[in-house]
Amino acid sequence: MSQIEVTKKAKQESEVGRWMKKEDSWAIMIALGLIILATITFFTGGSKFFTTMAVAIPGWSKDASKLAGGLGKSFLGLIYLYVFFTAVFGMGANVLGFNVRQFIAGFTTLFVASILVTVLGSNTFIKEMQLETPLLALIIGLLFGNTMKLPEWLHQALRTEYYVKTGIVLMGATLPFTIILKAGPAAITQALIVSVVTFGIIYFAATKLFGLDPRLGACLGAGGSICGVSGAIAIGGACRAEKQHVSIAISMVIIWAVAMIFLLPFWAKSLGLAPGIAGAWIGTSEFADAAGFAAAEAIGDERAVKTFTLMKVVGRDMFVGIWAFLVAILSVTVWEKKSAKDSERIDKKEIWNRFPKFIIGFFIASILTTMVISFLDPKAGAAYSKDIIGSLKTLRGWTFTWTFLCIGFTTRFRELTSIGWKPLAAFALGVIVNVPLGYWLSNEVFASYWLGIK
Amino acid sequence: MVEYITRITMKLIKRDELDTNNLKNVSEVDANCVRSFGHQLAGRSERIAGMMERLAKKGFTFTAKQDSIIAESTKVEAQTAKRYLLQEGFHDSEFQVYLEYTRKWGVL
Repeated sequence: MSQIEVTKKAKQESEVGRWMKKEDSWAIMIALGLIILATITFFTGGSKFFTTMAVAIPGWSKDASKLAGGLGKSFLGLIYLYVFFTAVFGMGANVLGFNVRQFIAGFTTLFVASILVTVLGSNTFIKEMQLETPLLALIIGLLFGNTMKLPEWLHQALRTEYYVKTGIVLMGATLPFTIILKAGPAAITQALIVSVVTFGIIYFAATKLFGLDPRLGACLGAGGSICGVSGAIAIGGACRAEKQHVSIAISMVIIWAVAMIFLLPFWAKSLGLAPGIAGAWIGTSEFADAAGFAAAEAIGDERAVKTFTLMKVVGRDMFVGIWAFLVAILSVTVWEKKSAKDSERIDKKEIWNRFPKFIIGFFIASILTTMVISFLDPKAGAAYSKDIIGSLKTLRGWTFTWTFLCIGFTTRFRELTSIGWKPLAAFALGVIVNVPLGYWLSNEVFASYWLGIK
Repeated sequence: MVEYITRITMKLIKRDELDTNNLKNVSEVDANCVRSFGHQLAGRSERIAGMMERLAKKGFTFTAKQDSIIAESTKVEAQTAKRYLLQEGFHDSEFQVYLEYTRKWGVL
């Protein structure tokens, strides 16, 4: 082998190695792997494993016998579910450099907690109190996370992003690509309007009204308008913000995102919004993916989750790289008061580098299942939708429950309080505009698109 | 809440200089073009070596790529590193700063 070939091979290996060390890569591999395996077994007649694993806890009221019966029937499925996800998440955890033993111990606890929460959330009385499983998971997590010191081994498994990204790719499988194409332009336009307005208001308030550093203003603006913590991190990196700036923006996002998990579904239900519109509004006005899914799931209708995903993932998350590129140029020219010729060069690769890669998995998943269904005759297509897509939807529900528990366990309000009033005020101004604007766009301007999502 | 890595790219060879020295236009290339390009390259290499020495004092580590040297640090923030290089007499056009933040454990 020539020296060039050796160098090329080493370079390729290091690139594959780097790719494997990313959470996004494992979320894509786990979810797409699951979708592909389930699809293969559908054609080979072995999909029983997946349909058994997709455990749905039955609703129950005072009479616990129905619940006991349902749980008894689902026992094998729960074992499959536990073994499968412990194995795949554990493999990823190993490569990502987590402590695997502690991760497994922590995930086991999280898994047991998710069963308890789902059982409670399936109770008709609790449902009547508007406490759907996502909200319940969040409340229980917040309660434990803020009142007691959680053991170190549990920390290893509290990986909100790991679970939510896996869930989002699985979400892609349940969302026909034709719907993405149909609603995509509306989602992108609505997101663009809200992002530009909210970013502008927060940035203006932070820099002009309160005299904060423009980099902090940009991080706050990105957190409040583009895509929450991911936005603050990407923009913070692009404009070379200080660590403190990014931390303040993240604190703001977490505080408002957790508040909005409760407020947005409550308002949507109080205003009697259709699920599709409620989901789009949450997708426009929630600040973080994981929190947004909790809020959308709390609406209790699949259409809300679909329109939320279209708004948040397709409309907002996808453009973080472009925002980062623009802010990077702004930072080295306007903020550093230099002409384009004298300023540091910004590489166009910035767009790709900051692009959230799990979105690729989301699109592939959607295209894959849409193609499979289009190749099947109507009868087989219906069976595929029921057995495979239905199972993937249930499994997605479990990944989101782990996500919501993690949000609760890891949100420490005490740690979020030392941010000062100025960033809080600037961000609050953005929220004051963002929420009604999101409502108006979802419920008036683009209502027909969101109502058309089935 | 976050961890970061500051990455400074220092280009050894710049595409635009290949153009200005006519090295890409084979029909017009002559020995003087190559010699002139060599001088530029020597000058640039010296400047990059200088930057590396300064950055090494701040704890940066280095890797070589096909056409550039990459300096990395998880301790020096991007703005601090940039200000330091400018104070030391280097110019914005001689380097590119890339800052990457990642969430620490469990952040939403």
